[in-house]
Amino acid sequence: MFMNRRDFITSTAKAGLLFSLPIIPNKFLWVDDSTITFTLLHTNNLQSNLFPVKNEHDTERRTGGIGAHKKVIDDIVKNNPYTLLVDAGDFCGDGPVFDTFKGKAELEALKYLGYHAFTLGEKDFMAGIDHLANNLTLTGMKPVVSNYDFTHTALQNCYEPYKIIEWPNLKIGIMGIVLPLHDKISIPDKEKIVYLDAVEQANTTANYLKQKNCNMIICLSHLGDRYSDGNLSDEILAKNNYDIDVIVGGHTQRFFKQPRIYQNKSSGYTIVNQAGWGGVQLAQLDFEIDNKINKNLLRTKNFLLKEKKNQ
Amino acid sequence: MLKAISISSFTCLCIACIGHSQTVSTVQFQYHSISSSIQTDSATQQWLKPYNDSIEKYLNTTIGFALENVYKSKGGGALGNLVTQAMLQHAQTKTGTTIHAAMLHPSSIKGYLAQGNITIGSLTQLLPYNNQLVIVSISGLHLNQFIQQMAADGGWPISGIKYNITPQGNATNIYINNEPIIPGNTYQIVVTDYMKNGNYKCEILKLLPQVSLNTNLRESCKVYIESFTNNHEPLAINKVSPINYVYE
Repeated sequence: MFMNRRDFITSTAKAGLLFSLPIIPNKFLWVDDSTITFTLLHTNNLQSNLFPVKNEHDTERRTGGIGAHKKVIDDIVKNNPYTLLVDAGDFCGDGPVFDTFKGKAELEALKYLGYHAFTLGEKDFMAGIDHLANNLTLTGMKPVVSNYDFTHTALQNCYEPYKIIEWPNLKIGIMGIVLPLHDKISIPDKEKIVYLDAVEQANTTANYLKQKNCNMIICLSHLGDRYSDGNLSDEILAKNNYDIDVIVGGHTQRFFKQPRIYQNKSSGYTIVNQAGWGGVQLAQLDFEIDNKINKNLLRTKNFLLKEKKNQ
Repeated sequence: MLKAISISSFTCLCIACIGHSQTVSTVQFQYHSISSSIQTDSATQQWLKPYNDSIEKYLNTTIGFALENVYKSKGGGALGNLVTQAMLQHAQTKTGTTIHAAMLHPSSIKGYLAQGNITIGSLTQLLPYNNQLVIVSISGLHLNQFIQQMAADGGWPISGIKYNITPQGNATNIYINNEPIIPGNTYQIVVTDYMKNGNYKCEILKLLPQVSLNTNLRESCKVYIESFTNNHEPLAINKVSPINYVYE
């Protein structure tokens, strides 16, 4: 059953109560009097890799793993508390970690690493809807999913359709868009989860977050970056949305050389980025947000991309 | 130590030609390579230890014994027979109904099963993917087409069906449970959800009715191997190929 507008507003309003208000030392607040540097860190398709995985091109080398991941994140957060850490789905994946813990350890790892928000991918349903719901309840983690109605499943109270994270002078709105699941999962009761049109829900949610005066709107997407057959993708969402600033992508496990920028429906621009798979890469985007003149990134018409130098 | 992937040396601009009052925000980007050489702090090591211990214990669990190495070969080989027989038997047990055949894409099986103790770890290396098993109802007509497709690809691991492959890659003399396939009949076959979803060019399966078994390929093999262990028997190995390659 589709949510009517009142249900949507009610449920999103409840979710909106989950604010994060970190205490930030003055020296970190602005680069100068008027600019906040906001850091977005993101991953996707972590796929149960708590431990380092074999390098794709050099099986003697191993990359990723929670230990190294934590160190890199901590070093970045230490230098800028205006840092948001998010994941775009498929925290579960094939292998012994999943076989042993069925997704619970993976959620505990996201919590341990300090992820602010995450969405779901098809692999996160591998142990079944009830098991996923149970793990989410036990760990206290809630994925952000804006385009599914889970009302008639155990997931009903285990997710939020959007999330707002706040710092002093900065408010970030987050939504989650999950790909059409029904032909990708084989689990009991899958017909009870209701897919809602991704682009429509993304636009509705983004508009709602805009009304909530978010400075920036981020979409965690498990659609995949783009497809030659024209299937629904981040590229299509980027071109057909009005208010999303950044799409943090996943599913296609692409190692980007640089973020892609698309003109959206409001004559503004939407950035799409992705960070490979397995936790072997962590993507970082630093935004300089003008606190006086251009406080609201939603009014940004263009982005100037620069490669960040080694720290 | 943070190690950034070197990308391009030039600055990439995305400036729209919309003119007047628009604003430009600078975005710096970086892709951190998470190298395992990065030092893990002791707190994280402590945090990981119980997970690591549990996984090692799980992977080292012995589930059976193989008297000899079991290999995959053209058309499936002894290993293809073993895995598809496990799928078939598991599907029969789970559903309590007749399942006519099991088939699998060869790439689902990696390497070989080594002689000696079979552990969860060795089984995981053999079948690394968490493919779910599904029962598909298929007409004799479509089943014949599917077998022709597998034959043209050299023959896939299969149980419950026997056939010949001609030098031209055509399937002939096809028998299901020793009976010729009847085009108008409906057969129940067990495949992976990955195949059912149309991958490996299995488009023919995509629109057919299915029932989920709520179990995966590896689990079916684990149960199959354990059934021998529970009877104090070594794993049975069937080297007779269900596919006969005809050389004219």
